[in-house]
Amino acid sequence: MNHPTEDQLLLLAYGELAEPLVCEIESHVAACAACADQLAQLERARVALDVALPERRRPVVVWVALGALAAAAAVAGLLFTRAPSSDAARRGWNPTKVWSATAGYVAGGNVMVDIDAQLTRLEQERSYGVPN
Amino acid sequence: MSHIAAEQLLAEHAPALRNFLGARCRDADLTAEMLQEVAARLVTASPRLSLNGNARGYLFRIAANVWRDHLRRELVRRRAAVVLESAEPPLADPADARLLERELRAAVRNAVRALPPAQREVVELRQQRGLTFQEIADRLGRPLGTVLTQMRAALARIGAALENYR
Repeated sequence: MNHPTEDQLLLLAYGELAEPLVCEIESHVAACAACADQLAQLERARVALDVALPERRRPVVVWVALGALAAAAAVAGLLFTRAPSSDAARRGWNPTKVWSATAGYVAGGNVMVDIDAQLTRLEQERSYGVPN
Repeated sequence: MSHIAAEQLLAEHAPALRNFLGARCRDADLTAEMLQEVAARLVTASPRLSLNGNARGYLFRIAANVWRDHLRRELVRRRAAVVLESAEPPLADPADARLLERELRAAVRNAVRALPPAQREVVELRQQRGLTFQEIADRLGRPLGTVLTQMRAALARIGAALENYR
């Protein structure tokens, strides 16, 4: 392929290049010293910026967790304030399904755990071998 | 994810990971070292991972982090070498990576402050708000190409400000 454009290298350095192009440009960079140097310069400056002005991750997980907590609170409020129907009273009220579904969200069950969230957590906990 | 699954995953993607890291550092020994680091991080994390089908993406994300960690250490090491060679009294003990990193942060922040406003705006939205370049373009009402050009110009100025770190 031809050399990637400077914009494409910048997007690659920031992980924002469209997926179909990533492999193609990675292959090119692996074989082209000039593009590799250019990419390394961009990444070095990016790392320096990350050191000086740490990127604030978008708090997707936080918002989802807050939303889940709010939902849990709403469900709990409903359950505690609503009188059980006479039928439910006869059979005995069993809220297990409601609680387990909510707990899955609150505790971060598989439903909401995506790769990025896991990496974020691991990085925050420094628990996957970050070198000193 | 089990350790065995992690090892299989690594074996499957090792050539591509080697290309990815090798293209960046262009050093076979360093590439091998970083590949081991990727493996160590994956194996350490594997008991607590559920990959939701994007194992390759996850691996390359780890590799990118390993590479950036290397660059970060390299920036500090270069600063230490400059301090040792310099006749001027150092601002920090060259052995003290934290102080050297503080100097690095100060140098970069000064460089960011000195950027033209249009470039600084892009840098700040990217770094401090975590917006993508497309989102920055939308937010500022500029074409994406303009935003990318401004970011590249900013990175070039920051790179120049880091000459002491080379």
